Amino acid sequence: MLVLNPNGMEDTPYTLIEASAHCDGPCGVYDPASARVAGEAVQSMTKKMLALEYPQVFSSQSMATYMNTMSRYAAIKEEEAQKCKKELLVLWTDFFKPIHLDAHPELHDTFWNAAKLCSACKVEVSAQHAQELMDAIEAIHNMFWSIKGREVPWIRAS
Amino acid sequence: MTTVRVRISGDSMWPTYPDGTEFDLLSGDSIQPAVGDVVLASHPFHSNLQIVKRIQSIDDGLVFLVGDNPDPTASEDSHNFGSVSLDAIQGVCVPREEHDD
Repeated sequence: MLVLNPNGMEDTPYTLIEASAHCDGPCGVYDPASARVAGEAVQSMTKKMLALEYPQVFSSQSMATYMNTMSRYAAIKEEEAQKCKKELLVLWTDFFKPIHLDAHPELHDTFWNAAKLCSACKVEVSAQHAQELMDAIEAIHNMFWSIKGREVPWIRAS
Repeated sequence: MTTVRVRISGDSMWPTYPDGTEFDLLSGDSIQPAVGDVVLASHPFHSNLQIVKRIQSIDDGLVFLVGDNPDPTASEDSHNFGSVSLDAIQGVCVPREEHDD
């Protein structure tokens, strides 16, 4: 690229080479939406577990059905919380860089708290912690897209 | 006479040289890249890509290039693509604020 000196006072043009000083990204595609979907699943399963009523008729069949349903909710909650934690850790350790701490000094605390909440949501059946997890993911969503320089609204699927 | 400038995009040389830093390129037979120099080099796996890195070592004509960013995932350099030939070095980059025009 041939460029005239920007101050316009000199006649000497120069050749400008655009060189890369980028990182190595295996795919280069990051999006907190993956964590958000998993987090929503955790919250949904938590709500379903809390809302599931004990069978009114006690029988082998009703108990088996109840326990099967509750077990499936718990299994999905466990799986999605682990998936959410993994997605968050990938963002934290691969996408975010030390330079981003300048604009977001709360970055490490936010991720640490979010990862802890994933674990809490596995251990417990807590609507409060499920909501706090979603709030943390929303904060990460906002940090992520501000760094990317784009305005992406926080939208939930559920 | 036309001078050559190099402008970097990306954060692999941060915090020494942030995204958008411009350098003057010193090239020619009289320029011998040395350990510690910031250089413009051809990417060994992408022929149309030019990169700016710092020389960490030179051994038997093979140059080990690294970024300045302390994050190990923040720089694609010789840790990923290995050492490059001295022939791949196109010149030494001197930040424009560090010398007189």
